[in-house]
Amino acid sequence: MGCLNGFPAGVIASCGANFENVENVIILRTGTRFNNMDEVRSQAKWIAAMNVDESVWVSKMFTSYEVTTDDKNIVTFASTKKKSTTNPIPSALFYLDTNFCDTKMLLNVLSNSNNEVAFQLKGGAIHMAQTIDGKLKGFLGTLDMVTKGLSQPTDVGNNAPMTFFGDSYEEFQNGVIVPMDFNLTTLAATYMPVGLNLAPVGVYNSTTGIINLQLNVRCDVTGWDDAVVADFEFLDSNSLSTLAVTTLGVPVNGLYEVTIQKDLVPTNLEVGDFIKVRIKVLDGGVITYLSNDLYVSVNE
Amino acid sequence: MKKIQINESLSRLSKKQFEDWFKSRKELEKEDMEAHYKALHPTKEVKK
Repeated sequence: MGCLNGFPAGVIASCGANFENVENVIILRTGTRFNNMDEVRSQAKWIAAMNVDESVWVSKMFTSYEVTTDDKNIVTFASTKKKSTTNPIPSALFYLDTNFCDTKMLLNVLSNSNNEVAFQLKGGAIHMAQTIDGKLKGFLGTLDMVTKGLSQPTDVGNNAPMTFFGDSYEEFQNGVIVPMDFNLTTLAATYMPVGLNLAPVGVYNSTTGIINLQLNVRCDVTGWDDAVVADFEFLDSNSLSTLAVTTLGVPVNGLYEVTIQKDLVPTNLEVGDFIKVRIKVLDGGVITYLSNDLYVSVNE
Repeated sequence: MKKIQINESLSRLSKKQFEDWFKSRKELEKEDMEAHYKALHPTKEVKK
């Protein structure tokens, strides 16, 4: 066997999945896998990924996008023969069509983060990567968002730029397009949890054990009064045990007096303790409302 | 009128522990401790 080049294997002249324009970006938690195309084509699988597993986040849509992949590097030899020497890794800039509050949330979450990203094409097909054992996944890469500060006067659709820098040319070379019979963006509008904004109003007081927290549906001026103690989920701490919201005051326009305590016999957090908490409302195992993570450090 | 919510997980506390904890909470001053304790420990209905 010598250095024989491969030769194209046949042709699909009659039909095929067209490489249409990208319409939306689907962010998948790193490690999310679909076992086969049937799973990618399953509404139930995506719905569970959105509101049970929290492994998928779907943007609302783009206003426009630019492919920013470099051109191949072409080298000219002394013989004047040319050859390309690199396979530039794909990258793109997406202008999200989204509200200010969701943009702000993305800015906080997506700063140069590692993610796996799939692309919804015009017509609904999903462009994604495939592992060597045939599983389907997002393309591994870095997502980043940087605000330009002020709203742009003429290009108002370009206020939420999100860049994607792929990690591997080979993933794109071996990418697949999965034709779908439903629109994933429309599905997400129904099944993604409603975003909540959880913000502190003041600091945690270790004498009283109380911190005041403001809860709103993101972008809603009216406070959200429907939280119960069970909705508070503790994600991290300095190795504290039995963290709990032990009392929750009657909310006033989304403002709650929240007692956070630790240990089996509840005691207040102490100076030096920290916790990370969020609101996650479950309805029959499905997440209906989800807040940002809130970091609370006890300093007094 | 909405009562202040108390975490159900406090049902693990003994009566004495719960009373001590309740008394330590200023925000519960106007709340009915017995009512909250009963709510944490609903009695099972006796079959007739």
